Amino acid sequence: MRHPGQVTFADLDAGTEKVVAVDTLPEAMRFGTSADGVTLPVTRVEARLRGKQRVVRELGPGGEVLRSTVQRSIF
Amino acid sequence: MTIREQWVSTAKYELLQSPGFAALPAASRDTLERWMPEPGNELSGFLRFEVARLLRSDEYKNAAPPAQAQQLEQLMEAQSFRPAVAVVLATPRSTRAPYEVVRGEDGQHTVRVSGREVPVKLAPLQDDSLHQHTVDDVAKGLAGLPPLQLSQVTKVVVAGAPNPSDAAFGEHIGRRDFRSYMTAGADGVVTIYPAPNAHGQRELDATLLHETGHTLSHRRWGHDATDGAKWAPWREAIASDRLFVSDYAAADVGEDFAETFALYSQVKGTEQEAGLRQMLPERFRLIDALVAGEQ
Ligand SMILES: [Zn+2]
Repeated sequence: MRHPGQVTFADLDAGTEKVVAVDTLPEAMRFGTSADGVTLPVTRVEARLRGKQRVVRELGPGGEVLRSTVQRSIF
Repeated sequence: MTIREQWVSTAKYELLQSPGFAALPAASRDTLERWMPEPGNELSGFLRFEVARLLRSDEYKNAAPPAQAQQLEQLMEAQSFRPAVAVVLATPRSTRAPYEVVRGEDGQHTVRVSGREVPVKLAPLQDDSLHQHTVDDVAKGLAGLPPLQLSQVTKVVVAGAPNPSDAAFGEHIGRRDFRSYMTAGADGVVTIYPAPNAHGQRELDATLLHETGHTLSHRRWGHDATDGAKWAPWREAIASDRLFVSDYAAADVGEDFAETFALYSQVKGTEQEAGLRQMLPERFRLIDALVAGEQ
């Protein structure tokens, strides 16, 4: 499976986006596994604040959420 | 009784006496009354306090009934009484399903709970200054999940080192100190990372509950909560109920589901259920159907 080469990072609270070359990103975040067990490239990363925590969603080419990561919080 | 408690306890009575309430359209009167169930709950308490404060304000007292009604409509629309996140609205469940930890070689353990066997991999901690959740924490967390959420989890990994993606997340989303706590994969793999400060059981429980809600909704209804056809009933339920359980729920349809489902699961079968069901009737009905396997 080849990666299309770029990943868009979106800050949903600020409304900003930037495009990053995939080869500058760690191996572990370049691909994810869908609910059906299919390996898909991560092409978009969205971040949003949940209370005091930031939540990051890594999406595949069809908008599938591959991973959702919650930041360590200050509960 | 504190002033706050006094205001909360008399807010509904005062509201029903107010000419501004009488000037509201019938549908808004019904909705606002529906948001003040008896007995109350945390969410309705926040609302009642806000109502009591409005009724005592000069702006309200000096206004004619139609203008008062407008101020009440505005309160219902803005919902500034909402908490930031729904987890604060219900006391965590003290009941957990019975569970058993079967310890294996090389950190490969199994948690047996509710007829399921969930593999839990505990990786060796690579930095002594960090804290890791234990297998027992994880087992407790799994045992605290309702069966439907539990069935979304295929495996739990307690990582021995921070998320290798932390630096990239930090750099590209503007928070250099980003440190992951938990990652939920679409494939049902949950990864929990070590941290400089120990995490409590409550945070593990709450995060697991919220994230497994997402996993379930993506599997049943797909990923496009904003426009996807399978999400339409949920979007209609939001429009009908009007009320959001938290600011975070109001941010996005998918988050609204995760937040509301987590709250539903926390209060199901408790004395808080009836009140919240009265406040969020369409969403609770849909979740009932989802839990029953009809959605
Ligand atoms: Zn979420």
